[in-house]
Amino acid sequence: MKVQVCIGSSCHKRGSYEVLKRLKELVAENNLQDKVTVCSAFCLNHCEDGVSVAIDDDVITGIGAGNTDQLFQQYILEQL
Amino acid sequence: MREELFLDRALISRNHDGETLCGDFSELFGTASEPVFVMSDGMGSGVKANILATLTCTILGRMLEHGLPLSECVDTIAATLPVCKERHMAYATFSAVQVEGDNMFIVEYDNPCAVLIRNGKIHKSQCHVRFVGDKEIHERRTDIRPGDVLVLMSDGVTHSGIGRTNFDGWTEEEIGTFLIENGKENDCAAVIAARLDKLCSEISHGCLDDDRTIAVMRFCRRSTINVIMGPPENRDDDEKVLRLYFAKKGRHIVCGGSTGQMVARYLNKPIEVVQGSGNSCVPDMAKLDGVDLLTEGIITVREMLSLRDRIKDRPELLLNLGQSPEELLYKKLFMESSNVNIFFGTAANAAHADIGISFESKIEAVKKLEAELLEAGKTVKKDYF
Repeated sequence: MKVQVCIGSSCHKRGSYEVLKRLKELVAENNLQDKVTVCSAFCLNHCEDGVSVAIDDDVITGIGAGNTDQLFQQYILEQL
Repeated sequence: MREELFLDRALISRNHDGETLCGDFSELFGTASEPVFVMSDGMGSGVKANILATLTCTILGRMLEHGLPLSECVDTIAATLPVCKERHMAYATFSAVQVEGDNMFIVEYDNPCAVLIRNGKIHKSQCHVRFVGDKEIHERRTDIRPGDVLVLMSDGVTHSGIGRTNFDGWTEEEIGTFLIENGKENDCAAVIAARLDKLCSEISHGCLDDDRTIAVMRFCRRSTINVIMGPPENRDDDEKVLRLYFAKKGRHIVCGGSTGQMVARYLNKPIEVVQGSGNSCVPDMAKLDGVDLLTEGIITVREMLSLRDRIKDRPELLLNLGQSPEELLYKKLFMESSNVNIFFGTAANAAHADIGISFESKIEAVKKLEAELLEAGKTVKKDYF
């Protein structure tokens, strides 16, 4: 599974650096490094919708420090 | 000066401890093709020294740029300088460098001798000593070759450390050797000046017992950088603008996430993010075939401008620049270019309004960038699309 966190200006200002960091931590804590790759993406073209995260071909928007764990649980852990 | 040459220049001037004014004064006169640089060190320090140096530098610079003979310049200076009540003297040193065609003419009075570094060696040319009144003036004339680095300094440099350490001052020759041994071939003027300034600070334990001025003039081949920021206002213009942008010779920098996507579509190449290249202040940069540097836009540009402010305050920061996006952008624009073409796209990004980045603030950033580049002596061309 490939998880890409948008780091465009808008997402960066909205906290994508923290989201990226937290997702990497969660993947490591759950020993999922072999199954999940977390990386940054240049611009996912959802600039107005908060931090955007692409999980394989799907884009989830409105992510922030407050719901990163939920995103991980719902869209990463449960989808594996 | 030949058209393909660019005068890359840097100046570091530090005040004598406790003084709010510097007793050294320097300024660039003339035109881009025939510049005249003058540096003067006024007797003493503080206000009096500053007035003497400012007068000397300005009179000499203005007269030389208008082609007046040196003896006349010196007479005018002597007749104009106010006489110090305590010392009954009117005294300020000077060094002037006048570029005429393919040659440079160096005139010095009582300053340390300017060091010319050519092909990794100190280049000496014949010195003509002549007396104008009681003043012993040294004149040198030499051709200009690409890569020449001329270092001018006040005696605050050659006397650094005296009385503070065992160090007994150093000669111009030793300074030249230090710069050759510690320099790299394409170091820009600002780096060379910062390196010498840092060493002076170290050997004098951070104290300034005299005003200290270092001026570096580096004659290098011109190098153009084209930078595009933001997509054009009208989407239909994307291709036209990019055709113009890529038709320009030189290197190409792209600043902006959506701008990067636009360029990638045009080049039909994928964007590959350089993972971990950013930090909490600046997003990661990316790689794109056909482009020399691709970074995020406004945040990176602002961070680079703030780095510029810090470097102006503390030139030694230049000696330890790393590989983060804003540092790489700084190097390309300020340290490796002579001409910068800015392509500023005015498309509104609705998302930016929500995060406190107004369109006006972007215009402000690009204007500041232009002003800083001009201040650094670059030729700047800016177009809005």
